[in-house]
Amino acid sequence: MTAAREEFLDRMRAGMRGLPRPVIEGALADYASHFDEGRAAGRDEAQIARALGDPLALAEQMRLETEIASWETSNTPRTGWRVVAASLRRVSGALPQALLGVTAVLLIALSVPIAVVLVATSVWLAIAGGSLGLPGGAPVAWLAGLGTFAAALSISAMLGLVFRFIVNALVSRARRGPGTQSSNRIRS
Amino acid sequence: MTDAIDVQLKKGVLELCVLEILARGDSYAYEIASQLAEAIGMGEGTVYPLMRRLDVNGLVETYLVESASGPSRKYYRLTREGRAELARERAAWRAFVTAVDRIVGSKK
Repeated sequence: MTAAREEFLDRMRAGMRGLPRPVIEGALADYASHFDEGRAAGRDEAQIARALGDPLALAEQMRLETEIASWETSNTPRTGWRVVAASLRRVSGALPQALLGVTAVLLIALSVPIAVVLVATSVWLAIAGGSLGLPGGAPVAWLAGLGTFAAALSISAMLGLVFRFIVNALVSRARRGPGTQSSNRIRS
Repeated sequence: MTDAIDVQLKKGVLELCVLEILARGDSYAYEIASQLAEAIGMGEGTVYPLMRRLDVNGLVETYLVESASGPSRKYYRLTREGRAELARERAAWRAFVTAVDRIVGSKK
């Protein structure tokens, strides 16, 4: 008679794989006690499971909430990345989330080769620039290298800001429907 | 399409509804979930990730109450920050509803 309950909790556990243990155990304990309460109220397990909803979708929601909480505690590329990954995994993820997530992935994927090329160019200019026969000789080549390096730095800083913006957009999308989003702009 | 709008609307007001329910008195997740399922047809399971977030953000705090029949229940109580957040969300909601009603409710 416990098939529906076991199945729900098993699928939920599978969906939360990779999350911190206390989060997983806490969530499973909450849902288990939901089944207990429902049984005590005279409902059968299949009925309770149906009213709870899709365990995988709930697991993804739990994952997203957990990753957002660590992003809000510390804004690092790692935590930001996890928010993006959790948004993309989400079964019920809508199109805007998916687009934002894919943009973030492309951004990161592109930023690495761009940074490598620019930094390599700057080092090469600084070291070997003198023997290129450029007008101005070694000092100018060295300065050009410095300039390229500064460009690489500023591009990566800007990409960082855009990444941060995207993660925050994902967070607010995860939190609110369009209705209340607009309501924030209404002065009462 | 109407279904998608419906889901988004509910998602937007879920937090406000939970805060309102807790403002009337401490409660436990099963009871909150049942009330929301009955009132706005929300899936009962969605309350749990939300309660976790409210807890992490310090809007609610929990305590255990032994029950005569069965295991102890985890009760949720609004914190001072929770009450402040409720006041903000309630104001935003009222302003929003008024604004939408001005458009939807006006029959020429």
